[in-house]
Amino acid sequence: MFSCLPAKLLDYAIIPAKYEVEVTDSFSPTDYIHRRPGKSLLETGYLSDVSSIKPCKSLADSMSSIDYMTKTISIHLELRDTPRINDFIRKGKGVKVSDGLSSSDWLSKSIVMTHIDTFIGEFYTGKGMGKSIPEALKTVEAIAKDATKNVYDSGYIGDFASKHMLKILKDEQAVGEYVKKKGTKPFVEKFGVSEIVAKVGYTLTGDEIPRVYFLPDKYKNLWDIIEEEYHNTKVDACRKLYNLFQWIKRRILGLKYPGALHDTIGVRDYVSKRVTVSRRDKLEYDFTLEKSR
Amino acid sequence: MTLIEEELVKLKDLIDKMKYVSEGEYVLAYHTNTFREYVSVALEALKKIYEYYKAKFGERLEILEENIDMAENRLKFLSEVKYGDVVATRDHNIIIDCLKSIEISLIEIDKSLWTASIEELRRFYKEVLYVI
Repeated sequence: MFSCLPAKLLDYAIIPAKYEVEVTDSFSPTDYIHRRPGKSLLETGYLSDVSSIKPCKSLADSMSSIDYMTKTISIHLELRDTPRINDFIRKGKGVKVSDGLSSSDWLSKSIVMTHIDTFIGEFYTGKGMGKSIPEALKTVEAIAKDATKNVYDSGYIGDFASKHMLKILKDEQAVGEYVKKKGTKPFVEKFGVSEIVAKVGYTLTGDEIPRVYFLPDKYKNLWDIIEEEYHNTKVDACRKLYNLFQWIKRRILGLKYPGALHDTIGVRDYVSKRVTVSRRDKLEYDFTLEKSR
Repeated sequence: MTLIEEELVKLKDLIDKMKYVSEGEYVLAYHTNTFREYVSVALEALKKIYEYYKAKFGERLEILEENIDMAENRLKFLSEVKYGDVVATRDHNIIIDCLKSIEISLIEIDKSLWTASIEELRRFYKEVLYVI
């Protein structure tokens, strides 16, 4: 719309430009993407939930131990020495054994897989039975119940953890939905993008003449009409340019001339940096008149 | 020397063909065609003047070259119109763009010539004073 020639901004209009955006297409992929991770995460949560109840040894144990370790290892270590030791002392057991037992018992809650072995050893030593292997196996069974209990607790923790996970994932899903909505926002904003139509005009050999613009039917009010004045200005400009040619010809050939042309008539420009003189005096030396005489 | 003499005659003829109009008159095909031809001949004259200028002074005027190129390129988009054609905005805009370019070019040449003559005078007086 703008011209590279020195021109003056005559008028401008802001036209709201509407873009056709297929919003449904934009919505559906994002929606689908955001549902997919939600689904998979729910499945994960369900699996952890099941494993924490049923297979008490493998998955839930490891999960609980990790959870337990990460959450309450410090508190656990502090507590294991105090209550359990006292309890065992009251029963008249050896202090050393009780230390080992209590600690291993408490530890069995935290790290099941590794400390079960320790637990067995300690229990065997603590009772001082020196029994054969089958008895030891019974003990192991008894411990296994305890361990099951522990595992159940751990499983519960695991369950809790899995719920917590679900909660987190739900949050993420919610965030995803939020992001999805946010992602559609720019499309909405694009509706508000507007185009500026700038109308410019020239000062042609001292007379102002505008450029004319034709726009779509919606903006009929911005249409320009080529007026008769514009035509007459162009005719005047042609006459003056003819005089300019004559002038330059005489000047370049070293013939007689009345002076510097740009100082005599000049051209008034609003933007031009090249022409600084802004005189509008008429050309004194009119070659057309001279010839007509 | 008959520098651009032929073009000047053509331009004078075209100017004589041009007529002022008043409100209510039709826009005729020859109005646009006359302007188009005028711009075309004026550009030819301008190029000749520039060639002469370059040969005489041995320097280029970039502004002038840009304006000549621009005017020539824009004029290509303006074809000859006939009776019944719709008056388009380009019929007006391209012509005034070209006329503006020609005007700027001529003024640039004039300014350069004026500066050159002043420099020449200065050099002459310097030499004279030096001799004296």
